Amino acid sequence: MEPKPLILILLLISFISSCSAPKYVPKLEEVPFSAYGSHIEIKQLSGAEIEGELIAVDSKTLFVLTAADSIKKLHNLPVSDIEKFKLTYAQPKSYAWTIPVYTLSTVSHGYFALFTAPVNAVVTSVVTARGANAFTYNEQVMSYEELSKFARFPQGIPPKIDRASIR
Amino acid sequence: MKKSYFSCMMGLLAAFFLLITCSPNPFFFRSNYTDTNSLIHQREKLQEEQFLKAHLKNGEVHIFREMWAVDTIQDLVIGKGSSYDFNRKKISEGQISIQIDSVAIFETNSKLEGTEKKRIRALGILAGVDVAIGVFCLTNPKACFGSCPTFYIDAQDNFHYADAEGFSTAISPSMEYSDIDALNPQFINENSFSITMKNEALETHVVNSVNLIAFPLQKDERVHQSPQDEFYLCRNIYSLKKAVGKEGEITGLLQQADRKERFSLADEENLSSREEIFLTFEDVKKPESLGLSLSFRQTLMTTYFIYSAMGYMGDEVGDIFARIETSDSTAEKLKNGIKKELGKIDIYVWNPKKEDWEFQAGFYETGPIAFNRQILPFSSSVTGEEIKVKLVLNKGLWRLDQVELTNIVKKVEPEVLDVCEVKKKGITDAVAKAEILGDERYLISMPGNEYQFIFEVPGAPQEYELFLVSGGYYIEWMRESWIKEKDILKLKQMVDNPSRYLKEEAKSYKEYERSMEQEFWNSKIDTKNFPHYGT
Repeated sequence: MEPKPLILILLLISFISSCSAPKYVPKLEEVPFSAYGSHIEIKQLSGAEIEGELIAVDSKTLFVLTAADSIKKLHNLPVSDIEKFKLTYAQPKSYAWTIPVYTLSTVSHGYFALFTAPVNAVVTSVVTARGANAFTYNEQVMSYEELSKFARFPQGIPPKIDRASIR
Repeated sequence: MKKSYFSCMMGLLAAFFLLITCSPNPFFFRSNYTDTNSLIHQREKLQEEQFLKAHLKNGEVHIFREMWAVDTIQDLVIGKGSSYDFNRKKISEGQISIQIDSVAIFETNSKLEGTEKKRIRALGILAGVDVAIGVFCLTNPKACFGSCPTFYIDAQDNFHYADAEGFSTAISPSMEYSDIDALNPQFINENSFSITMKNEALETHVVNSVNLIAFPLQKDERVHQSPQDEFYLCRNIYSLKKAVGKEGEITGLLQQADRKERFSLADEENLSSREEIFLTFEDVKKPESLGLSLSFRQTLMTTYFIYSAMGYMGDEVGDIFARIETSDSTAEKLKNGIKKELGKIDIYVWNPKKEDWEFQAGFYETGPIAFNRQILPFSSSVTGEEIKVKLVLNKGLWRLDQVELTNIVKKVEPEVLDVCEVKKKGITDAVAKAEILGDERYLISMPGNEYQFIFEVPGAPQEYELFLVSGGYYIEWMRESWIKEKDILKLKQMVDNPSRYLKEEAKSYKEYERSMEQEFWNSKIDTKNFPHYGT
């Protein structure tokens, strides 16, 4: 394999490997028992990006708990300001290892590696990318009403709770 | 773009994997209920196990892990699980009993199963295909791995577009020779021309020399090399009018140097069987001093014989090669026994007066990768505007790309250019240069090595007819699986009685040819533009 494609594959692997969700996002088998809200990444119309635990959703506002530099802070984001979101409800399964392993295994294919190496690289990259996005929803498949099911407080933030004390 | 069968297969395979790994519709496994009745109703409706979370009005959450039930008399939800406060600190674990009116929302979750099925299936199938191809290649290395150094004008090209392959039959030191390959007309803008040599096989390449022969060309001129390595300046091209093989008309396959080749499959009874191709040229204005120009290469048949011979030698390969090195007759037998039996591409010209075919000479060049373009000057005097030519060649051994007639103007003497710089991985390699230029020195190229040879071409900018001269030999690496094929009697038959060997080996070769040749060569992309190809 030539150096350029190899570098691209290594970059892709490192990129995809870095796509794991925060620790409070449960493993797939623990999803029914998780007490936390799902992880949400939001891009606002202004271009600003924010990510954190989805705390609650009402008809006009999303409440997201961010944790920059270990300082947790609750943000109120007007729904009208949101361009798109990506919700991750379970830790993705990583298939990044299959890209180098499968692709390099084609060295035993001789001339055929010319075709099997790219096919392996493409298929494993697609599998890895889809694996990384398997447990996610976005604004195209989920409404804000449905989004509330994945919040820490699907009923909305209880009125007696001091919002600043939410951690 | 026209795709080959193999490319299409691979495309379909990729599409198939994309399809089965695709999950267009997300599944919704979570439901919320604000009243107990609908929760009870839903639970009775669903047969699968539902896991319950009770979100209380005060922000606490109670998660029922194992079992739960609704006590409609006391308005309680009871079960086993864990309780958390609004910041999700665990309050308790074990038996839980909560008042229904303290609950804001009930949440049920179905168990998430089989989410990875499609991806695992795709990877499983891919692994199966990879293993199958790997096993095939390891058990049939002849089919998957190349031989001899390959040369590329564009270093990014792959072996399908190799411009030359060096000393294909020199499989031991005593068989060393210099090989000349046509690189076709190239327009050189600056005074330098470079070509990259690659070792793409499990072999050690021992290269004695790499030189360039450059003939400046005037308009409509070509210089062709004869099988005897003489060079002829040529003008006037007479394109093929009609070509007929045993399968019918094949004119379209032989008119252009487009890599759409004419080939046939080997005879299942005898690998030395021959066939005939009849060519017709019309409007030949100057029938005197004609030559037949042919662009051709071999199938994988000779590669099969080389690997088979190595396999027959088994664990005695070292001893036998030592004998080859110390005995000229053994080397000669090994080199020429089968070659003679397989024969050349013999050329005949029709003599209308005698009403008979007159033999001219033959083309022969070993190697299945790069095309050879050579000219064969007619030895008979030819008259008339219509010229008929017959090719007699082994069935299943040759791949013909283009054939044309041309007028030979004169024989020309080559000017041989030495390498002026050698680069390895883009860095000047003075040692490699000294090895290539030194008469008694050799450049050793191991699998994966690439060397760029740079030549100074005087007189540029100018179009040149270029030829590459490469001298040396290569040592095939013995594969473990070959040792199991040891059959000294078969080797002896191959060397001493090639005629019988070619009959007896026909069935085995046909099996190999069926499983390998077709797929391998169908995999070539035949629509690539070849600017260096003469038309």
